[in-house]
Amino acid sequence: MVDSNKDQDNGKNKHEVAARNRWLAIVLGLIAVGIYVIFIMTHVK
Amino acid sequence: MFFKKLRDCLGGIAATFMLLLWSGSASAEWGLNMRPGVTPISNEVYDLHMLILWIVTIIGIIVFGVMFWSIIHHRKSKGAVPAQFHHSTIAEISWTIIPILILVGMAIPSTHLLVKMEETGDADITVKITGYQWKWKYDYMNEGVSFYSVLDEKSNEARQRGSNIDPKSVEHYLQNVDEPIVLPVNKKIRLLTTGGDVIHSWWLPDLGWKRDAIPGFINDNWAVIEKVGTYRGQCAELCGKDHGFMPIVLKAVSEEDYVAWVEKKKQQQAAAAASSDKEFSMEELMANGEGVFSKNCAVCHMANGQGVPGTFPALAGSPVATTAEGLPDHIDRLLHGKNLMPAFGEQLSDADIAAVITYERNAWGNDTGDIVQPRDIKAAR
Amino acid sequence: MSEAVIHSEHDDHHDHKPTGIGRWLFSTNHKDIGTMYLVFSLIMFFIGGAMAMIIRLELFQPGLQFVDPLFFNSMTTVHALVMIFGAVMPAGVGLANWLIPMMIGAPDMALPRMNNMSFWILPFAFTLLLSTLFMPGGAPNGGWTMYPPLTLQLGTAFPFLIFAVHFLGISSIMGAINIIATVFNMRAPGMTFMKLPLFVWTWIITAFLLIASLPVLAGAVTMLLTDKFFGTSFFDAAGGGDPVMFQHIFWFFGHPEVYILILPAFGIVSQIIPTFARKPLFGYDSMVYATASIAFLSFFVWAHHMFTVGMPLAGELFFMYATMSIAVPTGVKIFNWVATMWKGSMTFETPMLFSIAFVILFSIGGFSGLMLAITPVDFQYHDTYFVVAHFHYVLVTGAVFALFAGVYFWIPKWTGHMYDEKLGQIHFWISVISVNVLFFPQHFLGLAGMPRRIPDYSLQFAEFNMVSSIGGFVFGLSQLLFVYIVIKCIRGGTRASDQVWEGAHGLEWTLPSPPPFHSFTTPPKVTDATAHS
Repeated sequence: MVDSNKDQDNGKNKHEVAARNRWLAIVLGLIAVGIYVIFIMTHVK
Repeated sequence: MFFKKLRDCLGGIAATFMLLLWSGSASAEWGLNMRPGVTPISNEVYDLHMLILWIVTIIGIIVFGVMFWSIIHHRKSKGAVPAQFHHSTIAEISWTIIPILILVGMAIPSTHLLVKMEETGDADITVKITGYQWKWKYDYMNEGVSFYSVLDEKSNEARQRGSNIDPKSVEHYLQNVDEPIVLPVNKKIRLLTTGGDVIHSWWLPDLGWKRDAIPGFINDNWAVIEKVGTYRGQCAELCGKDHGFMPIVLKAVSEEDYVAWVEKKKQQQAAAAASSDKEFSMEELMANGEGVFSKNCAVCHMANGQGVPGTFPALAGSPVATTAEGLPDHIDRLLHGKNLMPAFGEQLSDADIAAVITYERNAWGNDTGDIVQPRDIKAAR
Repeated sequence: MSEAVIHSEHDDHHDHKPTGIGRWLFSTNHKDIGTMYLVFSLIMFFIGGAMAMIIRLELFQPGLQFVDPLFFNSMTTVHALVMIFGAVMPAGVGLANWLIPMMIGAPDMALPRMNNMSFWILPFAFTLLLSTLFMPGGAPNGGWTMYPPLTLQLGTAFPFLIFAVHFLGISSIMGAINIIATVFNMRAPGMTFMKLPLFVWTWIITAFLLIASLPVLAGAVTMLLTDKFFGTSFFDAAGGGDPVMFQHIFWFFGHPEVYILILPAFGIVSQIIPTFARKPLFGYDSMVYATASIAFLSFFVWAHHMFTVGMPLAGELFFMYATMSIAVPTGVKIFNWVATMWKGSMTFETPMLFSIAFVILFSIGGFSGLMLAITPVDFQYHDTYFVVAHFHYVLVTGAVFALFAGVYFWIPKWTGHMYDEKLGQIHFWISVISVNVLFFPQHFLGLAGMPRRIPDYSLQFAEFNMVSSIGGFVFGLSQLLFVYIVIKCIRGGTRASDQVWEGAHGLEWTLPSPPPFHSFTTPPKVTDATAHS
């Protein structure tokens, strides 16, 4: 994996990258779940 | 060199195919193209189809032509030196605008035709078409004529797996029915489609359209048939096991012939109703019952009464068909159906139901000796 | 080639791979996971292909010779589910996994553990689905489109179908999240969005389509489940519901789905043609915008799959116009590929052969698609073999050919060996000829009046069915050659250089062939020479 002693040249260290990855995953996952729930709910009569 | 020749050859074959396909009415006889059909609408549909086909053919010839030219001339083995251009605003704008114009040109006649097809008012005759697993029902709303239309017996026999009957020996194999829908020419017919169990689709290519038959909903369609003749089509929405075996046959006749046919149907219906009070012998019931069974029941319960394990129960040896306690259930099953089995109370007369139940209770070694008469069925409705 | 790129073989002392079965079961490595996706998809391709062979065998002649009608319906249903969800989509994800990190200069995918889960869900889901072949009542047989009420008549297999579909969706959604996070967050310095290889762009857009559309499919099949077991009547008219509503919901997923199947193929071809024309991709910016337009428009056209249900006129017109409009950005892409070839210096190795065939044959599929878009004529085409011909042209000679092209193109990078070029060409020529013999006559069958999903037909359809079946048998058999070529290449072959192909550009071609287990552990410097072609 990413060498723990090196910063990436674009200024982000691996913890920032990982944190941002997690954040993106959660947001996108919530969007997916949200679409699922909303679609079902809006089709209940 | 070889590959270049092969590519050119393939190009030639493709062009030939395209020409064959797109050479108007001649190719219709070779089975390559849609039929123009027998109504004003179906002819317009055919014309629009040919127009679009020509447009895409020409576009294809141009684009593929440019490609083949490039493949032949812009190759490293010919010493071509690669250019380095990689954008051109003029090109991008042109090949965006020109296709838009072509599409608008296509959309105009398409819109006109679609609007025309949706004008279902002012009809002379209305027929309600109901799709069932796996047959059609036709109700002539004003004439009071009503009947089912089922795959013809010869086709039904030949199409069974392992029948060893050559389809070529059957006339209109899989496109023949026992009772065609009969309509007069040159009258505006309103055709309502609906479903009785799952979604089906009623399609006669010669009318130029198909429409889904959806349970709980009624779709509105129309046709004016201009030519006397027999037209064949089939169900066009997957509806289960015998989706491929519920054809549609339409006989378009003169107005006099149509009126005569309506009369005949009314008399047949009256006779069937009258037979509810008749008394039949065991031989008559067995003979009639075997015919009814083979036409309506054998598709699922099989000619030998063994059914399909896990899906369609066996009748041979079944308690419903062999015990006295089972008889009321047996009648109820026929009249009202159960799970996947449709109700036959509407479709079959008392006499036919009595006959088929008698047959089932005495065939395949069931041998109950039971005789069921039409009045027993009439009482149970 | 630029000298400024840092080679990561200096990090080789990190390059130890895990061993044994654990290497694969617990992998968090994008290369190994990519390989597993590709191997899985190849196996599924043959399973789906075997079902297609059964279909073509029964349709070889009129009359019912080999299978019962219900089993035949199961074959058409499961063939489609396997090919779409088991072959094409996983192959695309496999390529994405292998290539995206290398193309953007990242060390791996953003969420490597989730990556592992995304893959391993697939064999589980397909075990669920394929086991239904052995259940009473048989495998799903209501079409891959699962329309109610018919699909609710399915017996024991029904919950297995629903849960398999749920799991397949979850796998793809997680994969899509991974791809977006990776590309948005882990590009090497200098790798701006408009420098990304087009393969990465098409995958970004595909990933958004997946996230937006798969939950809708999940909703639709959940509603089927509750209609069957929990007393709801979403789709039952007797209970106040509407069978057509299912079709709307399904196709709201289903149409973006077909773009999910083809966009990665567009990306592959956009990498290959510039390489073998030795010329930059024509109109890079337009290609990006066209792909985004296609994806955007794909949400507005779903009801063109339902023109015969009896929609109001306004609806029919809207969907006709919207569907026709997708031809514009798609045409732009085709023209841009041709313009890339134009005045290039082309050689015709196997990847280029498949890519050129893609452009021609996908266009033929596009033409029949445009014909299908015209509503009043679609009334004649709908639910016939004309539609079957259309989607097999865009999916087989389209997506599958592009996947073949991609494998031939990148396998020297992955394995370090050149594949056997002569055998590759033979595979190509037999495939391209037989696939046309298989599917072109199906246009005629549809026009002549043959519906879809029937195991037997009347006699006027006999000749073209026989021709089509022969094409099918040859095409099916010839794919065994592909398996042989791939295995032979993995085991050995001419040593591949880093760049492999004379005209290749991009970060993946700066790595050794094969690349180390962990590549770009230090981000590379991105220059114009190593950016997209």
